[in-house]
Order: sequence, then C-alpha cells, then structure tokens
Amino acid sequence: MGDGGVLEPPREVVLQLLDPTYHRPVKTWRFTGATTITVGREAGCDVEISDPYVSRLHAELVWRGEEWILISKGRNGVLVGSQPVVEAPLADETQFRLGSLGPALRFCTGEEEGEHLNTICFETETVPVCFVDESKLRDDVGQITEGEYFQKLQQQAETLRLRSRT
Amino acid sequence: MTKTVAVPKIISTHSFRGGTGKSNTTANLAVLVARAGWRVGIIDTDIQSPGIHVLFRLQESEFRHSLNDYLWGKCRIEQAAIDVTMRAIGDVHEDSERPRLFLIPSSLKTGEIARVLREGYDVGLLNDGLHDLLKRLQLDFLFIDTHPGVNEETLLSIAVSDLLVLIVRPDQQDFQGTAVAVELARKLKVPEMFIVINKVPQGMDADALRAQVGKMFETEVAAVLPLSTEMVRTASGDIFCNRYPDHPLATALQTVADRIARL
Repeated sequence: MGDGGVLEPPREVVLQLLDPTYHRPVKTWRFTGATTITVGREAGCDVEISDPYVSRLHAELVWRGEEWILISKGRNGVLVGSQPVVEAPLADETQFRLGSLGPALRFCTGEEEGEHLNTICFETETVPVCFVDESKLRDDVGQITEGEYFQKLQQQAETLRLRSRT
Repeated sequence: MTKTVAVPKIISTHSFRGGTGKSNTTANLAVLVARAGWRVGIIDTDIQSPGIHVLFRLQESEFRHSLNDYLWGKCRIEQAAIDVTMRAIGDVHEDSERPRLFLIPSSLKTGEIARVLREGYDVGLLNDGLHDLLKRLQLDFLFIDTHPGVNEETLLSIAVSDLLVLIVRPDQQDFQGTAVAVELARKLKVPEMFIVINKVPQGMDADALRAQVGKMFETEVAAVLPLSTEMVRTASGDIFCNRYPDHPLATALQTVADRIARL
C-alpha cells in the first residue's frame, strides 16, 4: 500500500440495522480503523444478523484505499436501492439490503453520522407503548368472577391446592 | 438418585392469546427441571388444539391413551402418560427414578376433539386426574399446558397451581387479556405468579420492557426471552434447549427453570 494515492480509512465507520417499516436504526455497529467488515448470520461476523434471509457470510465491506466497497458474498445477493450489485462503492448514508427480502442496513462514515444519529430519538421506539384499559378490565374480570363456577372455585381453591400436598 | 421435593408442585403456563410460544416454553422448562434431577410431568390440557407432543416428536401411533380417554372414563390418568425421558433427557438408566419426564397428551383425533367441543367434559374429573397423576407417577413437578383464553378448565388449572407462569409477547393484543388473567389469579390466591415476556425482537430494550410490564401488571417479570430465528427454524421439531444449549434463549429459560426447581 505504498501508493501515494492511498488514503487512510475514515476514523469511524457505522453500520445501522434499519427497522423494515420506518427505516429507523434498531441496532448500530461502530468500527474504528477497520479496513474489512464482514456481514452475515454466522457468529464471528463483524456484523452478525440472525435472520433466515441472511447468509452465513452475506457481504463484505472493504476499504480500497480511497473508498469503501460493498461486495456481495451470499446466495441471496445484495441490493443497493432496487439494484442487485456484486460490487458497489459505498458513499456516506448509503442504504443496502441483504437479499430482496432481507434486512436493510445504512452505511455511515465520518462525523456527519454522529449528528445524524443524534437527531433520531429511538428510545421510545425500542419499547412498545403498552397500556391496560382499566374499565374493560373491570368488566371482563367482573363477568367471570360473578359466575357460579368461579365463585365455587374461589371457595375451594385453597382446599384444591392442599389436596396435592397430601 | 433419591432426592424428593417435600410436596409436589403444580405449575400452569398460560397465555391469553395463542401463538405466544406457550407450549414451547412449557416443554423446555419441563425438560430443564427434569434435567436437574426431578420427576416431572406435562399434561396437555389444550384439548381443542393439542400440540406439545410435537416437540417430543411423538406420533399419534405412540399414544396408548390420551387425556380424552381418561375424561371419558376409558382409562386411568396414569395410563395416558408416556415416558419421554430418553428422547428428552437422554442417557438415563431405564430403572432410574430420577430424572424422569412424562407427557400426558390430548387426543389428535379430529372426531375426539370435535366431541370435546360439542359435549364438553367434567372439569372436576380433570382436577381428580391432576392429583392422581402427582401421586401415582410420584411426580415432583407437574406442568399444565393450558388452552389460551379463559374457560373453566384454565380457571381450574390456575386455581390448583402453586405457580402460574404467564407468557406474554410485547404486543398490545396480549396485554389486556394478561391483565384479566393476573386479576383472576389474585382472586384465586395463587401462591406464586410471574410473567415471561416472549418473542422480544432484536432492538427492543429488554430492561425497559421488563420494567414497564412489571409495573403495569404489578407482577414480577422472571425473564425476557428474545425472538429467535433459531427457534423459528426449529419449527417445534425439537426441544430448543437440547439443540442450542448455549443460546441466549436457552440460558434465559434455564434461569426460569432454576427458579421453578427451587419452589
């Protein structure tokens, strides 16, 4: 690599696994000083994605001296936009998909991605908003507990449990 | 091995809706508890849609009797029990008392399933059967794989249980029904109850989810189990913890099994 045109890789490279619906990041991998990044299902890949559409080694990202190149390695191929690619240069913010039905990833380099990430708040996306309708709960429980069967069961519950101890 | 628990324990696993992974979770927990050196039974009370036998690769031809036969007075309950120790635990001497694992399947015959739906059955007889199983098979633990939702049989299962394990997915459709089950279990004074959150997808904050669900139901969350491609690929064709013993899902199930074994 003595070529005067060869550049150092960007200080940090970030890959984000994207939510299939909203294309928001759901997992982030950061690499500092890397020149090759492997992507696949197999344990040991730098970006390990447990997904039936992802091959054991699905893709490699390789720094070729002046740019990052995405190389397809898996049977299901890699798509940039809607185009299948065997090799393709990766510009900052490029999104690619592992197979036509597989997960999508976003590639980011440099400082810009940090700012970009900070603008996305996915704290609230990582936990579903769950709630219980208390009024419906009271009605549902009331309907069951007012029944003859439940009341009989309630009276006998302790005896029934004790029976297993004798 | 001579260890015995002071009193046998009944554990019901329940979910309000189908598809939560209840049978898979029940089978794996039962195998892990048995592996710890106990006599364990699993009874498939999901008579309308039986399925747990599939995980033990049992064919219908291997059923001498089923739970249905017992409920219709054709056999004693223990006669429906199939010893699955060898296929689920492995290298155990056939005369060893422990570990031992039995499965009491429900009938797979569509005519018999239809008869249950049409005629129902004596739920009191089921209760007798549960206690007879504990005694006659000398079980330390009996797992009841219940039918989703709430009916007389699930209420009975909850009522007789020492522990109720509620399986819930991180899905709003599961939460409301689970809240009902929690309230009913409290009214039936079930001694212990905890929630297992299953099928949690990658990227979801497990700790935040555990805290949120625990607070919402005012019930302990014993485990947050990841949605696993490997589990999907297993396709109920095997006991997951046997196939992938070091998988994070298996590790999480082991913590729940350890907890049950200490009851």
